[in-house]
Amino acid sequence: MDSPRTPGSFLPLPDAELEILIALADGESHGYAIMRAVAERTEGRRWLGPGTLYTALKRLRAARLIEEVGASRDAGGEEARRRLYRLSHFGSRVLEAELDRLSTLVRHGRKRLHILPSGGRS
Amino acid sequence: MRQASPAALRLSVWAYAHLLRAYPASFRAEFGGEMALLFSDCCGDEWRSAGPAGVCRLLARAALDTLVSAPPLWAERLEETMKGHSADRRWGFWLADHGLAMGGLALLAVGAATSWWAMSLGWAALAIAFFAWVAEADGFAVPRPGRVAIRRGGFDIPLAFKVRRGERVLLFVCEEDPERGGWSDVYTVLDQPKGTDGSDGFEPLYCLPPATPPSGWSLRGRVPVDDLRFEHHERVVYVTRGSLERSLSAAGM
Repeated sequence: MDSPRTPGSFLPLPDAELEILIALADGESHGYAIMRAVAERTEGRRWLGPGTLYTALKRLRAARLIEEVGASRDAGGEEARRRLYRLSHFGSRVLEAELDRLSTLVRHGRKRLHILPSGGRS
Repeated sequence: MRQASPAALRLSVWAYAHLLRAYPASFRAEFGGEMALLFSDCCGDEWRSAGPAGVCRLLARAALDTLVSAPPLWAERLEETMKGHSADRRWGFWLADHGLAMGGLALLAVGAATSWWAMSLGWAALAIAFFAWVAEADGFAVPRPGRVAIRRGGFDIPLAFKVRRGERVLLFVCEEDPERGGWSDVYTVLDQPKGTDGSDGFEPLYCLPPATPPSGWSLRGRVPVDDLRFEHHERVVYVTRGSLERSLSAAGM
């Protein structure tokens, strides 16, 4: 029998998949917009190449963490070839669980190093 | 702002379209168009912000991205191709393991004597090509006793190792019935001759496309299709051993 599908069973999420889920938390988006959102959020430090981006989207869709919602509706021509993706309800739960896990990790790490939340040392 | 150079951008997009061939066909069919479009948009951004150097950097990053992201997809594809057939899977993994190991050793040996990064990229590309070649094959075949071949595009490429298995029956499929014309509803079962090297036939049961039976094979009988159970894997169809044996025994063969 298959093990139950719980958010915890997907953790930890690979970096690229976490970045994509965060980008999709704002609403539905296509590949290029996701890539731009990640680059902007990380101030250009993280670049999701087309291969990394679409293999991650494929995996996330197969795991039903995201859903495809058809082609881009705001334009015709090439824009119409872009598929839009959105976070599924289960995907939101997985993202929340991953962010909780990372928060706990950061809190413990800071505590060990005696770092205050603002960045200074106690 | 610089004016976009259609020729330079087209060249980059053309180069990236060729890089996309490093991905499995099914993945390319689903995402290739969007990936090329995304790369084209990125090229435009880079050209406007950094000019030709930016586009070259982008192409290099995309090439590295391809080297990193394509192999796992090929590994998945290879596993899907081999799934459901233990002998195929065993040989598939033998090839994957030994091929990569030998490639890795060669890379270390040659790379030590020359520019390591250039050799690494070259060998990584060869490894991907090897995966692609094996995973895109129609399947494995046993062209003559004791030998295994990769069947691709109607050709058998023999491999340098032998098999020895205990089974004798190989299923031969006649898709077009010569007696009735049109599509056949019976399958022709042939006995494979005893191997000259002492082997006694092979485990795999294959449905082969219409072809002339190899010389020396004897007709064992014909089996109604309705009695057989099939497993479909990509372009290869396998008959389950149990259903074949039941059907042969019911027909007194």
